[in-house]
Amino acid sequence: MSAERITRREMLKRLIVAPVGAAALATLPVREASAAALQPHYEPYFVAVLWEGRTRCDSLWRSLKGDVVAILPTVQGATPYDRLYWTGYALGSAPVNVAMRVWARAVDHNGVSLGSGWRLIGQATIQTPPLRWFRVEIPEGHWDEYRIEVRSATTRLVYSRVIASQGYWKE
Amino acid sequence: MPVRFLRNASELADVSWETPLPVQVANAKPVPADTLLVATTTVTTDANRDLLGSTSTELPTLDGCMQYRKLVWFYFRAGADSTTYRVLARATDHNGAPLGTGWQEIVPATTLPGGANSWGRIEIPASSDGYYDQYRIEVQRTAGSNYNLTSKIVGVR
Amino acid sequence: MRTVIATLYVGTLQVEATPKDVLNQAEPLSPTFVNAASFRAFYWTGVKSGSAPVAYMLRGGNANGWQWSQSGQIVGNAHGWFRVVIKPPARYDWYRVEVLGTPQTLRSKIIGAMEVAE
Repeated sequence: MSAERITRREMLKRLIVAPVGAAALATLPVREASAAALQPHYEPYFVAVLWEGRTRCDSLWRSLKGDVVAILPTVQGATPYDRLYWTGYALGSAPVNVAMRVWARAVDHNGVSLGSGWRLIGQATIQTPPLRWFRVEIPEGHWDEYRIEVRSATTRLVYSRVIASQGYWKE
Repeated sequence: MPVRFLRNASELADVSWETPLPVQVANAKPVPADTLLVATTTVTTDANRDLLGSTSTELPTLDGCMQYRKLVWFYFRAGADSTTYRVLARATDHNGAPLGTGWQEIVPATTLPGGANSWGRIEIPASSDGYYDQYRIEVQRTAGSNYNLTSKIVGVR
Repeated sequence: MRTVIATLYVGTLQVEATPKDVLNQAEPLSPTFVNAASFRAFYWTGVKSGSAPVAYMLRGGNANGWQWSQSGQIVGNAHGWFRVVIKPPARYDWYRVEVLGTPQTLRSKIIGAMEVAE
């Protein structure tokens, strides 16, 4: 998978800068990216980009990295982080209808999973107008590995980032 | 005169909201979440049996936990047999000796969620702050047959 | 930034019907902790020897006097554990942790939480 290099100015030319449409959510809250609505009493003080890239979504559940191998994680080493965010946009001019789901698991000192399979954290559907940003918050942190899968009835390219934050609670 | 910087090796850009100066925080790193325990427990009908398999009720499962606001208990349970867990906690003095006997029960006997071959995650405490020195986590099967419970407990500051 | 926990007090106090702080100071202006402005929260954990409730009064202020107080009761069986969480509305330089009640022994520990730069 190759990543397209895009300058910020170029990106702005391609996007309509406006509050993003909120996606229909099942379990995970999906919010307008421009609102950046963090909980008022949680303040992130360390933010890391765990993954960034482009995913070709099709009718199969694929990790953001493109694989359909269920045992492979999308991101690893996520233990220190309180919460994750998945944010991005779908390329193309058609309305967006991309389903996503988030799995998580813990590993032992050798990096071997404690058991088989994953725990389903939640799922959501991104249904925004074309060229809008979306953001999904994954509030269950401190798992070692996450697998984020996407699927779409029509083939779409999604450019996205997985961001993790570590914060503290302000009283 | 605007502040400018060299971007993309060939393009001069004005510093603005659109094009902020590329700044990296030096030496920034996340505070690690410490792995405190990785253990496989056979879940039996014994009362007061902790994740380390001990029925000695005065012994802690975890010690030296004062720095952690919260513990996160990840587990993979091989069986669906009805199980309860409870969490006890207490403080110690400078020598590590508990201030008294017994424990404060911070989570009473509660059903352990999940079916066979499923994952679980429990925050200890669920809603308030921890900062106890010692914890004792007990599991007890109330029906069915023994099964293996593989746990990992991480301390979060 | 990360949270650091510091042990501020570990001790045994004989609770009496007249108020005094955990350092056994009866003078109401005497602080239990000084230079405590960097702490945002305190966690008081311990064991009480008797079954009667122990009343507590927390005060925050400085050398010019007390500006904040909060009171409550520690309840529980004899030899039972208790935990009181103290989150003052502002940072104070001085704190006084005062108790009174039916005579019994209180063995307890008070820790403070503060944020430090990494």
